[in-house]
Amino acid sequence: MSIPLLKVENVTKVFRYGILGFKFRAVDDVSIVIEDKPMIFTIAGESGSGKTTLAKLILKIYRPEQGRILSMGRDIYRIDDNEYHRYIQPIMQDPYASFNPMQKPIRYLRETARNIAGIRDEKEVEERIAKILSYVGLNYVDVVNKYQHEFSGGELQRLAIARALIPRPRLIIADEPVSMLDASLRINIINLFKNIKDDLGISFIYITHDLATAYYMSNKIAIMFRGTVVELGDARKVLSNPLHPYTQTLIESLPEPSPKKRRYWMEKKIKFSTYIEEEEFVIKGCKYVFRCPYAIDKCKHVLPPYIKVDDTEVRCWLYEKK
Amino acid sequence: MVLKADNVYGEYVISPQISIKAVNNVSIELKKNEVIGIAGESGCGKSTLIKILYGFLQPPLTASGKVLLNTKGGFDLLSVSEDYKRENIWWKIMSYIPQNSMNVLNPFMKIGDHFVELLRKHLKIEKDEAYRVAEEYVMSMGMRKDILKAFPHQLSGGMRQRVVVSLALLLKPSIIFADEPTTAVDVVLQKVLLQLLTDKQKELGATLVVVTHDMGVHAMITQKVAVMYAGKIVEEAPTEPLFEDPKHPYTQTLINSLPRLGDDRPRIGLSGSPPDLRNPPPGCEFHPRCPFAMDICRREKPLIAKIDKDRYVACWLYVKG
Amino acid sequence: MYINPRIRAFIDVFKSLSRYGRFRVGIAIIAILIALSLISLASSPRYKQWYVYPKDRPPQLTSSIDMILGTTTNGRSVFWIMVNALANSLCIGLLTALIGSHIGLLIGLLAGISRGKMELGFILLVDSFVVLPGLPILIVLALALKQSMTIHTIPLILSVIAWAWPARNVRSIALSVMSRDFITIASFSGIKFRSILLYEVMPYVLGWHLTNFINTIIWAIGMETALAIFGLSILSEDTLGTMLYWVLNFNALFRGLWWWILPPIALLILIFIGFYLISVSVSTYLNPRLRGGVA
Repeated sequence: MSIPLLKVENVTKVFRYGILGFKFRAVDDVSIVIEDKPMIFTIAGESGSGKTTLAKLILKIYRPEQGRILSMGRDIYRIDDNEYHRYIQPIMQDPYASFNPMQKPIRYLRETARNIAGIRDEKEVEERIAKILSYVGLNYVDVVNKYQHEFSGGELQRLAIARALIPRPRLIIADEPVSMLDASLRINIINLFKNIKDDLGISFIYITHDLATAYYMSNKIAIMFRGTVVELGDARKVLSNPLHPYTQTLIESLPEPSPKKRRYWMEKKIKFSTYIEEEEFVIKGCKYVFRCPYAIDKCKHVLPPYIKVDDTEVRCWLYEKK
Repeated sequence: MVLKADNVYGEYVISPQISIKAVNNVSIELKKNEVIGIAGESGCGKSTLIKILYGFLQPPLTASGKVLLNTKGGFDLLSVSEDYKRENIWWKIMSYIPQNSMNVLNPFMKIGDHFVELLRKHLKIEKDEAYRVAEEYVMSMGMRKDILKAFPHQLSGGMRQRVVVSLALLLKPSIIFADEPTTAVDVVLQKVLLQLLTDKQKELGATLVVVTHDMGVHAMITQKVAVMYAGKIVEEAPTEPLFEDPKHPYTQTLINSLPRLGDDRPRIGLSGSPPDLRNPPPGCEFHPRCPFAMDICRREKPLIAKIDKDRYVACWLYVKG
Repeated sequence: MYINPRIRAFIDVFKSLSRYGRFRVGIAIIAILIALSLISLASSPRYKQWYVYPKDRPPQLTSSIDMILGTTTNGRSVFWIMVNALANSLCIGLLTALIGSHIGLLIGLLAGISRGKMELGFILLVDSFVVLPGLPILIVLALALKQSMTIHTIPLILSVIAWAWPARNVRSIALSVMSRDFITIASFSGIKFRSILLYEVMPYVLGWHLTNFINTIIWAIGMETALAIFGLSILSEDTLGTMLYWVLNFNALFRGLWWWILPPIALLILIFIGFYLISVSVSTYLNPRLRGGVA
């Protein structure tokens, strides 16, 4: 049993908003283990699920109120920033926001090569950058002198990926990396991620709300709702055979580019719900209780533990072993 | 035929030297009681086309061509005054749900006032009665009636979206334009909204035009799809044949690049990027990225070929002779 | 001809700004004013003396070159007073802006990048000064320091109040830039905090700083004039403000000595309009450029 690449242990992050300081748990007692082998781990959920907050917690942008995060067995707050950045690198959602419009993007590739990858020789820096650029499908000469506004969104995202690859990290955290790109270009970036995993052995945490791409590329998946992980397991299994009522609704609601499935999609009517979002965040029990068709009284007051069904973990009283 | 657009052009004139040719010679016909989708990616001109069809031309947008509305004996929407459209057409005969519509509500007016204002203006009824009608309507759309007392900022984004959709359907229009109605909402609410729109469409026998880049939405709710690229319609077909057997190279690549649940076969996407509409390439706009580009594609704009009863493709591969 | 790249960048910015009509007008006005104030270098020390010309002449408009704008009630040449006053007022404005807006820049940056107790401390400091009513405080200060105030220390006194709003401005810009994604990327590129400040954040801040600087010039000249009209400035020196003080004091209005009243007022108006136009053009120029678009 080797030491996991990343271990998130009972992490909670509390935010307050509004004049009255309404407190809510953006991430509520989340635990995730990513083993030490090349894989793509997807964290899926919608807006308000806490997935982006979790990414920022792992990137040390936010600090958890409770719990801890271990990378190769060491608490990340005990690892000095420079070393941590050799280990984990981010890819942001908005390619235009990833680089400072006032500077040339090549600057960040050079800085990463010098500071994180520790390459001293200037010529070697440029060579390494050129090699990685061509790996992601870009040309060094087309990149080196341009400013951010001279690139398209797809090109900028490739630049961001190239930058993240320079120090050969063990783990790349990609927060909705393709949601701002055109549909026809998305698959190219997704395929690139798969190639990086296969060729370079780098693992990914892929954060998304798009279950179709999640199915296409992930090994494992964690479904989040209002700050908690409701289901966790092998990606193909979870998405083909969802156990948690939320995962089931999510998959049923997905509009698929296959007209043959239309009748099935139209038939499953979703009840109008008149829930109030703030209430959902502060429920003591399962957060999905207001929308769940199977909810019982227990669900409102007692948070279900992680119950193992085959290899999948579900946080739902439906699967309670009697 | 409910609406017919003939050789419509739409341009954003930024400065005397620079104009963006967003819509470049589009002709399309909308029939009664159908759901038609307009698909395409960023910059293809679909939002501009909808604005032109609705007759909503705000500078720097200028349009030319004819948009014939087949009510009261048919007249050209582009040639009547905005006042006329506001009084007689908009909200009543045609409705428009804009992109990011959750931000379209007046922040200083209660939700109820939005409904009452519309009702009083077009139905000429008293305030109290208008309020009662609004209450009933809102409940029939699955929302609580005390939503009328709230201000827009007190509601969540999804709720506001539902309110805007309800407002658009309030006066029972015959044509409904929805521009990316569900892009900013989560998947579950998306389904709720789409169900709402399609149920109402059936009930009113209206024409629903859905503009979105999400091909899944087109597959699920439309009967016919028009695919746009660089300001032109490149393919138009009934939905199922379009997805099963796309003809235009762009549509083929687009549809084949979409991952689906339950299918992990490798897929490939398009290379390159969409053309700069200030300076479009000669010939077929798609030729720089087309795997089948021929010499003629680089020189001349393709003619529209009729492949089947309702299928049209603008591509030299299908033009005989 | 090789031009230092920094100077070239400056020239390019100037050229782009010159495309705005407002900027051209503003720069023209300020150029004229500076030219006028430079004439003061040619003034002989005698201009401060009363009655250089015959003692019994009443204040009047004369035709001699030396007295092209006539005399004051004390027989001094309005023209020479005016050019010196203009020069002094502009200098006060410039010095206050140099001192005050740079203090504001420094404290604003520190307030924007610090966290925790330090941050609260800075916020307290800045906000306390921001809410102070400027003119009343300056009046009190001027009264208290009347003995030790000279034309050279007025900018320091004005700076006490001038730095607060620029600090607030700079802080909010720094905060908003620090929260953007590319700062995270910069940090994960191993760029040290000091470099992030200098190369990632400062380009945004400097734009605002320039606007603040110009606005402080206007504010300082206005404040000094206001103090002078109350008689709280350095009355033995000439500034546009002190000119107005003496105008009021010697009832020039009632006596119809328009050639003494109009010049300072006209110059003040021109100063405000000129600098305002420049400031507005600079702000407009900054905006589309920040979006990374083509200038």
